[in-house]
Amino acid sequence: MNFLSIIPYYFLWHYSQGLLDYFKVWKNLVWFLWNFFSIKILVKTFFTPFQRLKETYSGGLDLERFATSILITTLMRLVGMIIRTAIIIFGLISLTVFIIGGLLGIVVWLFLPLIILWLMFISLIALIK
Amino acid sequence: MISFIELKHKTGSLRPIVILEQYLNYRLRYFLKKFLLGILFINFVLLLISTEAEKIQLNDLANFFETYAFTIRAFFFLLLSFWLIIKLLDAFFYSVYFDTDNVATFELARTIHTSNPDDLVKSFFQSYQGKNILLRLGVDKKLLREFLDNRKDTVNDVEFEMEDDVDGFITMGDYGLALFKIDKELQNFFSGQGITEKDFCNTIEWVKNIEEQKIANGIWWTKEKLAKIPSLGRNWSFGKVYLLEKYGHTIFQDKNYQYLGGKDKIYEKYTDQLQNILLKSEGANAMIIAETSDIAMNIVSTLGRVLINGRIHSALEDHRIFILDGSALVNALKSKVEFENSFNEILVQANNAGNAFLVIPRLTAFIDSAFEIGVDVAEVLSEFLSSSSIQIIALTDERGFHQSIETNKNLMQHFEKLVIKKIDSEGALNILQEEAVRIETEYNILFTYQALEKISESAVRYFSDSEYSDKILDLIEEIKIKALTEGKFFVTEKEVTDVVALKTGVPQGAIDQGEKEKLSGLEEILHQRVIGQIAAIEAISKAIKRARSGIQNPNRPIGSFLFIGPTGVGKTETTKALAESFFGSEKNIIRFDMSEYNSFDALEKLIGGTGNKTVGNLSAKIRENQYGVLLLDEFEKADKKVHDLFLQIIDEGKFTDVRGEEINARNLIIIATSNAGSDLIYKASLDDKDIALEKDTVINSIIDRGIFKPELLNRFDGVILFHALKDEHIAKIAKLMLKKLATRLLEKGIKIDINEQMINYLVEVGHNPQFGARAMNRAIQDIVEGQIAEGIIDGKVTRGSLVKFEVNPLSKELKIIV
Repeated sequence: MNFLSIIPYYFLWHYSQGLLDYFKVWKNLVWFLWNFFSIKILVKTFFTPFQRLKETYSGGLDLERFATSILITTLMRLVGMIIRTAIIIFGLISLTVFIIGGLLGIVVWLFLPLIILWLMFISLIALIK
Repeated sequence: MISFIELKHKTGSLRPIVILEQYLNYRLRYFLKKFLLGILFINFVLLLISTEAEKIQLNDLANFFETYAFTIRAFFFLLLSFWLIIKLLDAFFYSVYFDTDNVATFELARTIHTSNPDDLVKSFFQSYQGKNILLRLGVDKKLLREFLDNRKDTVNDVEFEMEDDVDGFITMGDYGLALFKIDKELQNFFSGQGITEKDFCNTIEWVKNIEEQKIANGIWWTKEKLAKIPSLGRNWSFGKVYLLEKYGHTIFQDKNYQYLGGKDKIYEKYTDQLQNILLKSEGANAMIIAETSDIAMNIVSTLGRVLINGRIHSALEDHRIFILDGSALVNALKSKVEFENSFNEILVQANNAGNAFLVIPRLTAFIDSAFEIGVDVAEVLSEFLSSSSIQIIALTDERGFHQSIETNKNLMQHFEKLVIKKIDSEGALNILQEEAVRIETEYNILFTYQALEKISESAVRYFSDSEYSDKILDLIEEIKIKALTEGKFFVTEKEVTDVVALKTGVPQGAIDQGEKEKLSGLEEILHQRVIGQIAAIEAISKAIKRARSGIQNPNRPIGSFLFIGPTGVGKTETTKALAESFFGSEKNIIRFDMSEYNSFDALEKLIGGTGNKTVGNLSAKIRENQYGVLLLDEFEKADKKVHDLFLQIIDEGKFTDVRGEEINARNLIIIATSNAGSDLIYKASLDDKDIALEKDTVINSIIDRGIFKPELLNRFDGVILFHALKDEHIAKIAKLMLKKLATRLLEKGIKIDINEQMINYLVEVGHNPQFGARAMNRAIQDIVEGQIAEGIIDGKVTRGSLVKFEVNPLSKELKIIV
């Protein structure tokens, strides 16, 4: 069995299953970034007080306690919103960059065998000179 | 049926990576990638320096780089192209290797496509995986080579055929089994090495799994692997559980989770069921019922592992698992009000957190101890059991569940049951295989398949006091430590049996030359201690040999005998000699005087009482010492219920005590002694009849008198009659007893002359056919020991004295002469 005999199999794979695998990995990494920045859960709980910290108000006519409760809970909601906004924005930027990068990657993948050959060729020529 | 050509065809899609592996295997690719990356990095740094050198006007350096910058750059791109090629070949390899369209494993393809068509068996064992299989089976390489070179017939590609696999996926195991079935010479060779068809197939599967796992470790881009990376801000949306942090901990801090090892593989199927219970909209609480509460905890630990690995159902992925420390809560809060308030607050906080699974281990014990301070746990819980924000996972053992929880309808209506089955030996072997690989990656040792099988087998037979999975993991750990301290690389069956023998005192494994000699001369060794009783000694020796050879029924005690005969004829001495020969010491005798167990509460005394919750003497003693001789003196005097209990113990090798715990009696030799029928034995001895011929008469008489039931007598491996002692036996016994006395005296520096005159006198005085050797013992004590003691007190017998005894011609008594 000759090592070079795998070359046709490789090329067949590179432009069929290999391309599909590229998409699979790309999809997994997009999912990872989405998951890593917890975008879905942060959006869903956008208005929830930070770590559910809030002042409980047990009812009755105590205006001072009522006001304190409203103030602290609002404050915690605001803290939560600010931190969540920062993470969501950072996450979305990373995702956008990665998705665009992934699209460019497809072009690179398609030409990768040629790119490698070209790199080898020019470097060998340079070294021989 | 599939022919070899078809097999080649079926594995054809894997052929390109078989070729790739032949020339550039993944270990080499791994090394090259790392190496090239290192050089590329150095190259890149050099390129940076060359640019910077010009800027900061380091002339010499700048000149140097000016000359070589072009070469460095060219070299960089050349290496980069090589690195990319290897990366692409890797991607190609992984893609084809794990292609779901494959109908066979890569390892099979590799073996098939590199086989010599004239000798498939030889090719199989010369393949990469074949060599690993042989290593794991502990087969001697030299012997195998001799076997492969000297076979009469070989299996070639034309005559090879194998059955179609049921699921259509062919593995190395299927192929190996087919070769094994065709090649009779191979079967004989393996049989000679103690390797069965099952061992061979399981080892092939194990080796395949190890290889697959190694290759799968190289993949980082799967969803499962990526999910292991913790995400940002996930916990910000959920509440804190301050009080639960005080009286509990997360699953990841739990000891059970930390020692889970490879057990998760067995319990993962239960976590699927657990997830289904927890996924219900509200009131989704689970009650895990297992043999022990610890096993139930294994399911929670496995759920923890599934959660952290990102394999949990997406609706549960944000959850946290908290374990309530019930005993800490009860100990810290002594009053009813305090306890109720704190427990309620724990539940409120967990409920408000919004993502808590609250685990209550040992629910029965928690309910009981809370009840003692007047708290009804079920009532406090009831408010939260219908909540959708908190889910409770209660853990209980089977006994506790049936005793106190099952009947509590109020509690049970909120819980869904999850019953855990006991692990079988196959499950145990899977855990061991994973654990062995984990140990091997850390230390320079290698476990054979037979070693793991022996561990699994020994755990069942010899260690019944803890959970099966824990027992096997403890055992493999001890074997690892022993192998490391002794500098051994191969851990074979022998290393396992050595550790088991050391732990239990029960001889194990292959019989070495010394032991072989001891076993063949066993009857003589026993006769040195027990005088006469040829038939009894013969029966005992046979039983020991049977037990040592490992062919006895593993589900019964090692041996069980009923010794019948008059007092003082050697029944107890035989038991002692037996304990010493088999377990190495007389200390391994658990002795019970069964005349103490003849009242109505005899059974309670032995296995514990329900009313007063006492622990039974028999249960406690066997639990303390599982390996030894259980001597039941005067067995006929025990209550009939006690006889029935022993009927079960002898039959099944185990019994259940009053607490419902199973006690293992399979590592005991049970010996019951009895004087029943000794009048007949005595009479037969007086008439000079052969006792063996009288056996049926004696046994029938015992049954007729209602002393023992025939079914009980039949359960014993042997009912052995001890004949009454004659003068010649008594003389030998006297000599033996005097020799023992001589040894004791020598420790005090006193010597004693044992002569015929002395022995004859003692036989005359000390022979009482009714009391056998006991009368002789008394005579020696009174006459010989008594006079020596007086001599020592009077100062006549001192260190260095030689003591003699002679019959005084006048008084006709045996007198001391110093």
